[in-house]
Amino acid sequence: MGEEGKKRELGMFYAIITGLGSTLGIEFFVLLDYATKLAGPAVVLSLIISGLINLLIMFNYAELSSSISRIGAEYTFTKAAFGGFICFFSGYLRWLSSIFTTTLSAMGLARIVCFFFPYINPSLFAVVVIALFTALSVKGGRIVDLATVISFIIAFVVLSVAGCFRGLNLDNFQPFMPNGFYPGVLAGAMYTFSMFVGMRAIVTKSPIIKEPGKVIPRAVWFSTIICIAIYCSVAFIAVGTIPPTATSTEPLLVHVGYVIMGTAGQLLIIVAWAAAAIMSLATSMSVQTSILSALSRDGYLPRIIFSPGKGSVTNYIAQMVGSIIAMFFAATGLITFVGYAAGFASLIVFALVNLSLIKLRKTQPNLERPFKTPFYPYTPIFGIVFAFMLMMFVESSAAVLVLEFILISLMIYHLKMMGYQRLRFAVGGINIGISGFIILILFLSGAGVLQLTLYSKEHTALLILGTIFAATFFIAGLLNLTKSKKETAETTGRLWME
Amino acid sequence: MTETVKAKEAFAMFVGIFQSLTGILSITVAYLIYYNPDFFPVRTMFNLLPEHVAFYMMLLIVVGSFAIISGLLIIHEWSIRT
Repeated sequence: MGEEGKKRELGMFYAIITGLGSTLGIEFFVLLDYATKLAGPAVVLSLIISGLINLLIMFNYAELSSSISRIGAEYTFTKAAFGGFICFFSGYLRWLSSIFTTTLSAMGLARIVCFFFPYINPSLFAVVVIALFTALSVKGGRIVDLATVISFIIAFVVLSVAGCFRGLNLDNFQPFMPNGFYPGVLAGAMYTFSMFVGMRAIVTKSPIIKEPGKVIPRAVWFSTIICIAIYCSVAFIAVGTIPPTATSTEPLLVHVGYVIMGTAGQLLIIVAWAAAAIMSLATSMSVQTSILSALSRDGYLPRIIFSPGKGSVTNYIAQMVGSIIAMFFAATGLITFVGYAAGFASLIVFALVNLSLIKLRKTQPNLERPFKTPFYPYTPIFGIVFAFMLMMFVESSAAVLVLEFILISLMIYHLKMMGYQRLRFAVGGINIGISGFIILILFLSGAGVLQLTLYSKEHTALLILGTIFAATFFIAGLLNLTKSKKETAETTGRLWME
Repeated sequence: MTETVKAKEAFAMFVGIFQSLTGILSITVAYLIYYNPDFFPVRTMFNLLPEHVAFYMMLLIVVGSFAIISGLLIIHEWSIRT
């Protein structure tokens, strides 16, 4: 039995299947296209680098999950090591990266559907798919994992073997690194990092894995090697068949399938693509729901989000919160941007998990560790360094977006941790401050001190809107500072009791 | 319940809802600034420089989120059955 009363029933085979099932997902189909543009034929090298960095980090995960064998993975590790804000922060970012994965999966599915039905709007389709999955509450399962993994491996092996005999042109590999090792290959490694992130699914299953100290590290090792081999062989064939400089509206792998095996190859890739998108979507949606519920259960978020049971109303609230945000990003239709954002959020979480390992080794040296990460302390230190190194290659707008979400997380945390009345006073004060700031900007703009490059019509509209905003914030501030109906009722009740 | 309390409650509810809506509007404008869609090209309309887009987005998202929280707080505080 696991620590949480669950039966340990997953052996090595299913642990590997879990890892492969979550890793061989939609990210590969969607992100390979742009990765070849970044790194050129050296995308194979980018994949090896990101795979090995992921392996290094996963060894640290394996140590933590075998010693702290509880549901929640990253969130549980940081909770044991740091607690407080860091714990909330890692859970929040993990939730965010699941939302980006949900978006990416829906966009991936939309891309392949709209390729065949060009009159359908891909952004709208992605939004509808997320809404549909939320309404139906679709979830993956062990049999689905096994079936998908087997079909993926067959599809990729068939494509790679057929590609060696037909369509492969080694001249496409010249020049090998058109954008150099820096930034080309490293940027490609950053971009493809999301393709391996699913490997942590093995760790999340640690409470039901037999002998986690033995099985988890071996499963991580095997799954990573299999994934690197599959990804590299398909990427090699893809670049060898279609040069990275070629411009086509067709998704890269679909085009490759067609060049190598004709319509049958195209169909093979499409079926694998659609299956990957549906599976990734179901998995990421259930992950984001469970994280949000856990954060709520521990008091970091309003209690209403906590899901006490499967199928309950609050379960849907947790699911809907993430789905609405995912739909918002899906509406933008920016696959590259979402890919970067998912990778960036995951990298921060990975750095925090590595830090947790170092902290726990220091603060709890006697904790039972059935598996110890090799070459400690270099492994977690390298994990942190590599994670930060890859973060440098994130597209600036995606980094800014994630940083904005981090600011929101700070706000949520402090708002939740404050006492209720202090919170009301703080919100009231900030409201009046914002109102004063808006009035100052309007005054400076009206006096001509602040030169806004606007036409007169837009300038007048902005002045009117600004005044309405300032008035609203000011009144809202006063309402938060004055005694409310609830407080009045409490005071009256107390006086009556006395 | 006196008429004054009723009116105060209705006013507070209105301000709460209105502030939440301004918050949603701010976040939507942030999205429109980034995306600059053909049907409502906010970025072009306000002559915003591309290098300033991230700053405006951050400002609007932070203020918008705050407005939503503040508005909901007012609604929660003034809608309690006594």
